[in-house]
Amino acid sequence: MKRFGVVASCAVLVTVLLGISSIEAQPRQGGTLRVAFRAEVSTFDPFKGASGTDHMYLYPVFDTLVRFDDKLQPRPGLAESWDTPDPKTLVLRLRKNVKFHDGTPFNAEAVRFNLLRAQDKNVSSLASELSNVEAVEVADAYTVRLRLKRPDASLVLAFTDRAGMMVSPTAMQKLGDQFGRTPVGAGEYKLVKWTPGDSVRLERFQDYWEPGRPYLDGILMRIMPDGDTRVNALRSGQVDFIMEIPTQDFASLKGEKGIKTYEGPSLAYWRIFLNMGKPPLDKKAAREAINLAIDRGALVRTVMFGLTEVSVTPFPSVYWASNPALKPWPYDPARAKAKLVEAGLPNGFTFDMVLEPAPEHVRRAEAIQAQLAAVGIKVDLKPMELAKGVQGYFRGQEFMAANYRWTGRPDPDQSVRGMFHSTGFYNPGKLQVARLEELMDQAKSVYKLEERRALYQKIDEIIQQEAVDVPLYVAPVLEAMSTSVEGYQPNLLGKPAFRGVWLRPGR
Amino acid sequence: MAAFLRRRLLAVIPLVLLTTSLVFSLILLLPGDPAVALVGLENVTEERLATVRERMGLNRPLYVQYGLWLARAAHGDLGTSLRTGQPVTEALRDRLPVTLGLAVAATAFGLIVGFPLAVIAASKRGGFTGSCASGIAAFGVAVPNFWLGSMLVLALALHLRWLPATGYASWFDSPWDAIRHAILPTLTLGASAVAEITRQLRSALQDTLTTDYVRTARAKGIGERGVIWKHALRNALIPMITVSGLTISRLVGATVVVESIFALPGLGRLNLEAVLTRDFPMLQGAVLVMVLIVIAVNFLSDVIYGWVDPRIRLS
Repeated sequence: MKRFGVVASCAVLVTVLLGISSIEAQPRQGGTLRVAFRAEVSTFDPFKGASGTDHMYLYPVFDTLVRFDDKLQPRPGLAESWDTPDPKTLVLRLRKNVKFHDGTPFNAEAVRFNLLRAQDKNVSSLASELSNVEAVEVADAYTVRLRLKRPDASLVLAFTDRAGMMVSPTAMQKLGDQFGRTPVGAGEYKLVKWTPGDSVRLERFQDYWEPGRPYLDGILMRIMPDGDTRVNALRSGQVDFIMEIPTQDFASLKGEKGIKTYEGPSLAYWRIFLNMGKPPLDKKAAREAINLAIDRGALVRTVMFGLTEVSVTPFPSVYWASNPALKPWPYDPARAKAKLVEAGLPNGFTFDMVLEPAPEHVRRAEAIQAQLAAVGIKVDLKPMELAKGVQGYFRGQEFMAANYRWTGRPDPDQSVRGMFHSTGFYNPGKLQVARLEELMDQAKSVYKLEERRALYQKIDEIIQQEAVDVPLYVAPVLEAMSTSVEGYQPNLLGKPAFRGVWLRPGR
Repeated sequence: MAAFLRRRLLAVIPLVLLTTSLVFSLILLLPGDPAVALVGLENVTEERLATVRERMGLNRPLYVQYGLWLARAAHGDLGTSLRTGQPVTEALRDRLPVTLGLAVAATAFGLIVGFPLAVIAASKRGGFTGSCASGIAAFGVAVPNFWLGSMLVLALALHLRWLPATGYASWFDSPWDAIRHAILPTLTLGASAVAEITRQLRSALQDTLTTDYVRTARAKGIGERGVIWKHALRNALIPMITVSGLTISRLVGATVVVESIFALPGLGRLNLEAVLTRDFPMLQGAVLVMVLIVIAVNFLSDVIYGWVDPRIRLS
């Protein structure tokens, strides 16, 4: 545990240092930030895409109704403030003097246009997120009133994500299907050129509403699928910022001249998804045995080179919905064996587990396989291509378990409901824990963050008590940048937004 | 010669039909449903899948899909990317020069270096210089290009900082930049071409050197240099036409790896991305172009072969 404390405090220290340097030095205008990303944007239409790797491209182009801080708590964005006169009404008060890149004014009508489009099942992949919104009313030019079918506190944080990314209604009506390649938003930067497979070039939006912002003249985003290639590009000074650094390369980048690194937790975590509808995984004692037989500390040390923390809840320890009083599952093979006897399985049992066929994934799964074998639980590893495995496990119910990453969501309700509610898509066995579902509904209907926090901490506790999760470790955010990059704020989503970034001269 | 050309050209048509239909059916064997990939797993409902399949024409029988694709392809329309909405022909037009340039440069590099190496290896057989030349060839065959690429980047880009580590620059924007960016990928891809050409030419040259007419030339008192350069090499070069053609074809395939290492926006990476994202129209288009390149190169080398060696075109 000590080690993870050290890692966590290092992460906080780096965050603080990055923060301090941006406060001490005076931000400077100008320069083009060059970054390298693994994956290409799928579409610039925020409501159409379904890929989690699009956000880095979307954030600079589209301002969101609500912003998030480094702990993913909501902060004012295009909506200056919001309140809930009653639990089934959400009122958004909008910022004035905001324009889209094409000069279209941003107002309540524009928000209404966007939210109705986001609810349209035929074009939008966000319809389920906004399913509780019954009506979008324009109260006055800068006030929008959302009438809800039932209270939904997750909406505010959903507006920090795709659902809150405002597109220009005039441009959307004019461009139609072409919008995804020639987007018009109200963000700090506008798209100049997208060369598929190679790069995306953004330039400063001169009429951005926030005075003095953005600092940069532009951002050049280059697409480099190979991790080593990204590291080489940073080392040779061809780019200023890289992310998703291969764990084995990270240590060597640390402390290298001209480079600063950031390591910290993300909302994503590695877990074993269990189909709790299939025996014997429907038995709590069997799931407890699995949890007790896994040495998470060893996984972090060997597979992750000590670069992250063990997962206790579905959230990293610094997140507001995480319960700090809970302890990680102990590594206790003796108790695991006792639990197997309690489950009526003194000779253990066998289950199959899908995973991605890449080296890191296989290493982790084989370590888990060996640890579980020590208590008599046999794991049949099924390495297979991601799309096939995911469809087979979640839709086809073909496997008992899957060793995948939960990618995290802006609101905790989206995470716990998806994985632990009997209607959740990521709970293929549809196991129902009544107490958990009551708490989820309760947490969704209160809007005060403090009240929500208490409820999610209770939810975290029950998830552990009922052993419905097999958390392994937090997926770390590993980023590196040139020392000339200032003002960068990492976030818990692990999806860089370059708001507030500026460049020191003479790189 | 005209009859020979006609015969060759006609053979190309069934080849294109065969390969494209093969690729078309292979794509459908890929695991994972493209409609699900497009909608996003969480949002999947049967109605949405049905609308998407309808829009993409995936609900029709395979032979109808292929027929429609072929009819449109014949008019130069290869459809649009499922993922980005970009017309496939536009993507191919942008990326083809990158890959073709790389493959041609690597083959040229292979010929320029492989040629003298082969002559040395064949003429100084058994000696130290000859063994060195053969050794270099063996190294080129054995070393995987992802490793060689990484080593070259490490030495020439990161350590010495002579060349850029990644990226592509267009010839039309800045020729100097284009050359600097092209050197490392060319060396990486060209290493195996050097090896291939050296080995093939060396053995051809060695065979020729034992023929009667070479013995006669030697008996006439012609010096060793004259024997090799004037007499032996001419005949040994004929198989090199085929070898060069095969090398270009093989290198076009190898660009998948090299383009990833150097982040080059070429056809190889387009192929890879299209496979990973189940972007069928894009994949089909990219494979079609690669197949056409291979066919065109083979056709050209056949024609040149026939032109150089009358025995071929008359048979």
